Amino acid sequence: MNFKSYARSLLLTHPKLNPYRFSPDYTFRFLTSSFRHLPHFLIIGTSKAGKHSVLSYLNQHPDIKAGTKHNVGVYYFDSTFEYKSLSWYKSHFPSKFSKFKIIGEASGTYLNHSLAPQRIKKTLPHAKLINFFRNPVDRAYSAYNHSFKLGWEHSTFDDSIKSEMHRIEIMNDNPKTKINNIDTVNFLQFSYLRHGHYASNLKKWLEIFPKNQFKYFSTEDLDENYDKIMNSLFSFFKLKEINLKKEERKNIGIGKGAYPSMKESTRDMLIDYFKPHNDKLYSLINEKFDWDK
Amino acid sequence: MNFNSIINYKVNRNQFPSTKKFDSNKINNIMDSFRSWNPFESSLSAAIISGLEIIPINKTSSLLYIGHLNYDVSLNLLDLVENNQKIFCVTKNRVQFTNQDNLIKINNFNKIKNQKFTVIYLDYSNYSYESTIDITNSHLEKYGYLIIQFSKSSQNSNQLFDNFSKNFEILQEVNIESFFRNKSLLLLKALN
Repeated sequence: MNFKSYARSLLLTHPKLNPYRFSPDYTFRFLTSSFRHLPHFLIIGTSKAGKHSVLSYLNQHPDIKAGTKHNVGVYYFDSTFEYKSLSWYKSHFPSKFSKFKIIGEASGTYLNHSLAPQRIKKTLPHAKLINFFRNPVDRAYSAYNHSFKLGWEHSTFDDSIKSEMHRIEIMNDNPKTKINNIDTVNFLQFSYLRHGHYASNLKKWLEIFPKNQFKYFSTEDLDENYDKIMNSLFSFFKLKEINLKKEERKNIGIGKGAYPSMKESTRDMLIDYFKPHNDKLYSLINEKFDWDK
Repeated sequence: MNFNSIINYKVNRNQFPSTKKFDSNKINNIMDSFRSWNPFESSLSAAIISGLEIIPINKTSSLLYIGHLNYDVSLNLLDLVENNQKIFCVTKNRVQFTNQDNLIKINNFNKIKNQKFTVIYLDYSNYSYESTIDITNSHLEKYGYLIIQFSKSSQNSNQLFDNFSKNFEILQEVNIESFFRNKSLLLLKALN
C-alpha cells in the first residue's frame, strides 16, 4: 500500500478522525446519481476467470468504460442488493455527460447467485450479459489459492474439496441441517466446486433472459485470440472495431505471484468430476471448450 | 432450518448484518417470532453470516457448551434445540439468566462423567489440542460434531489444524474475523 492510499484509507475509515465515514467523492457521486448511467453490459461470470484482464482490453476502446473507479465490479445484485439503493449503485458509474457510450461492470459471482437474474431483469432488462468461462478445474484451484493466501483457508486443496463434497452430501441427505443463507454459495472459499457447475447456474439465467442477450467465451482463448474476442464484443455492443494492444494477464495470485501447480491425481479426479457438468454446458450454449486435459 | 435471512441493523454509526432464527416460544405472534442473533456476541451467529453451510444442532441434539456463556449465546443455543433439550454448559461465568431452565451450568467435567453428547461446542480458542482431544474422547459420541473456535494468530495454528484433520473430518472452516479478531470457526465431524 503506497502512502497516498494509506492516507486515504485512514481518513475514510478512522473511527475518531472520520466517525461518519464522510467521503466528498462518494457524496458527490451519490448526489449526482440521477445523472449517471446504469450499465449497458454486465460480465456475470465467472469468478477467477480473468475479469481484470478482460476489462483492461475493453477499456482500450474509447467509447467504453468498464469497471468502477476502485474495483472491477460492484457486486450489487448479489451481496448488497438488500442493503443499498439503486442510487448507490448508479453512483459507481460515469455521468451521462461523459464521453463514454457503453458502460459495464464485472461481478463474477452474479452467475451463481439464485436471486441475481430476477433482480437484474427488473433493473436492467436489456443489459448484455457476458460470460467468461474458465476450465472449472483451474478455476477451483485458483479460488483455493486466493482463499489460502488471504488466510481464509488452512486446509490443503485436496482436503478442502473433499470437505465441500462432504458438505454437499450432508446437505442432500439431510436438508434440515442446511442453513438457508442464499449468499453462502457466493462465498468464494466455500464453493470451489459449485462455482464450476456452469450449466446449472446458467440455466436459471436462460429461463429469464432471451438467448440473444448472452455472449460466451472461454478464458483459455483470451491470451491467443484477444483481438478476435474483444472485437466480437465491440460488435455485440454495436461499436466500431479497433486494433488492440496485447495486455499482460492481470491480478494473478492476488498480487503475490503465481502459485505451485496442482497434483496430477487431483487434476484427474476433478476432470472426471466436472465432465458431466461441462457436457451439460456445451449442449446448453452449443459450443465446446477444450477442458478435458 | 429457518435461518433466513441476514437482516440489517443500524447500530450507532455502523451498520451490521444479523441473523434471525425462528423462536418456538413466541409462535402466536408472528411479528415477534424472530429473534435477532448478534454476530459480535455469538461466534455461531458470526459464522452463519460468514458462510457456515451446515448446522448440526437441532431439537434432538444433546449439546455440551464450553466457553464464556453470555446472554446472546445462551439464547442462540436454546433457539437451536427449540427449548426441547437440556444444554450442559461448562463455564466460569457466574451470571444467572432467568427463565432458562434448560441451561445447566457446571464448573467442571466431573459432573458429566460418562455422559456423551452429539455436539460439543468449544467456544474458547485457548484450549490446547490435547485438552480438546481429551474432552472429545470422553464426551463426544461416535460420528458426533465438534464446533470449535480457532485462533489464526497462534504460533502453532497450522500444526493444530493438521492435528485436527487426523481425528476429525473438517467439514468447514469459516473465517469470522469481521466479528472476532483473527478467529475462524471450525465445524468438525468425529471420524470414529
